[in-house]
Amino acid sequence: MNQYFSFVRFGRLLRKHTAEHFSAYALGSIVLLGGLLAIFSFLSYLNNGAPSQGGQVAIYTLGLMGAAAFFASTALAEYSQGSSAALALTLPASHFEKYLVAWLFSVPGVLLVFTAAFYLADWLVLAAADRTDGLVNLLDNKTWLRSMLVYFLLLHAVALWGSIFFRRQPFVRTGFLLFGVIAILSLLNYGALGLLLGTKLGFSLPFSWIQLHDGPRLSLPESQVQWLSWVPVALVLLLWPAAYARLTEQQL
Amino acid sequence: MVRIRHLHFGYSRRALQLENLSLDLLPGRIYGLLGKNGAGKSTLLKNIVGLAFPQAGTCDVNGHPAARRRPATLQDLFFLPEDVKAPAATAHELAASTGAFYPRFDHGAYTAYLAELDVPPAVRLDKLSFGQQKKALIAFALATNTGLLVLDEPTNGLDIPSKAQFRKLVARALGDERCVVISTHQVRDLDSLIDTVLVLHQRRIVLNHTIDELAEQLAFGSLAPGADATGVLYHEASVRGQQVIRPNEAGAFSRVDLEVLFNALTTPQSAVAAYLATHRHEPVF
Repeated sequence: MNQYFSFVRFGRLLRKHTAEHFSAYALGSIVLLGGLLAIFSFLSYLNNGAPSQGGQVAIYTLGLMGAAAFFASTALAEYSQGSSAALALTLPASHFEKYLVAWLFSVPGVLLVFTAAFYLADWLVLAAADRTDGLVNLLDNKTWLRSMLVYFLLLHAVALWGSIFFRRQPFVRTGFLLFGVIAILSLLNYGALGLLLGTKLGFSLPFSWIQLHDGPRLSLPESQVQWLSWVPVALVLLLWPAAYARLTEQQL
Repeated sequence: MVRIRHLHFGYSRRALQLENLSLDLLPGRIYGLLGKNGAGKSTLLKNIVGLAFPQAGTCDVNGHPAARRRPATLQDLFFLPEDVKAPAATAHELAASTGAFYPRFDHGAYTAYLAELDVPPAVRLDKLSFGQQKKALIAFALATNTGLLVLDEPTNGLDIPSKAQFRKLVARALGDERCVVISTHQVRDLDSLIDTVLVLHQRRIVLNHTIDELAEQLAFGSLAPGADATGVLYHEASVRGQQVIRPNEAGAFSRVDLEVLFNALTTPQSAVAAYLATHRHEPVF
């Protein structure tokens, strides 16, 4: 018997997870659809009949990020929280199989359900205004799509790690930690750059350009800037295994 | 089945809950793990099933470290924690979705256990009371037929008829290949069920004897007021008079009173513990 992965065991785990969470997921999807309908309707009202293409893209981006963070922060929670954790951790399946089920539901699962709900809500509102020709094609802007997916995966990786690291309120605590780390990094970065350059800075964020006070903007050459886009990818590739490692080391 | 050697465990390194603990748990036995509140019973059980990792020493189940939580190890053990939360499924759906993970899961026995414990099979478990949820999971635990069955305070939350039913079912479910470990701080609940007594006190196992061994070595009885107390290892006042434990030098049979024995073992400088230690050849770990 393979102790790391077995298709039979994985199939059982997938079926068990689906059976036990189906009603919650179905309810969540309906709430998501209702929320999107409300937002699109409001946007239509503000935009004289139909949401603009830019507005649709903004809703998709923000909505997907929110859905990723919220859902992923519950993905591994059953292995860390309360009385369900003992039964979940001692269920005869490998840590990798348990991790993979959580990953599948929270990455492709969320992506598919959110995209379907987005287009359904968008189409219904546009159809009501007889403006279905205004439906946005998200595949048109490849550059936006690529960076949006990378940040979706980054947010997912952070929230997934939080879901197994924090035993209580993982969504709130992960968010607090994330914003705390960003704030501290930004302050340290600002201070360090000020000392390094010996001048007053206007604005600067980590892994970004530097705006000198009443002066020019400094940035890396274009060829090197492209390397910075790999920072979120690297973070994703660090945080996913970190969440897995935490699952294997989870104690109650 | 379970082999623990020189186990040290604590949730912080400064405050150990288990210290240099060695223990063997064998198939064909029902162990009763007794200890005061906070003695570390649940912690020991969690180490056994791989939910807590030893700081030092080893804890192996079927020859593999429990902490690795290998699927092959997990499919031969079932752990029922004290606080249970049943999944959002009916008892039948639970058997269909989770029973398949246990190769020796017995659907017929599960249905029979549910009926005996009066648990409705077609109602969602998370909608039932805590006691009903616990009974459903006890039925599931017994039906898994795992080699190692670990139950943490299983009678907490059960009504009086269910406690008696629980004892009957566990006694019936035990086979030569099965090892059952039950922890409790209510020793009366395990009376007439367990065949080996483990007492955890001050971070160590201070007793690991079968009921037969205890009955062979100790005599339990009562002492009339003013009677000669010479040779008494332990005595305590009760509504029935002075309950005493003496060395069983006459070889007469007396029923082992677990509550009195537990009190005797957890008193400072326990004479009963000293007597048992000198009258039994303990294995050297």
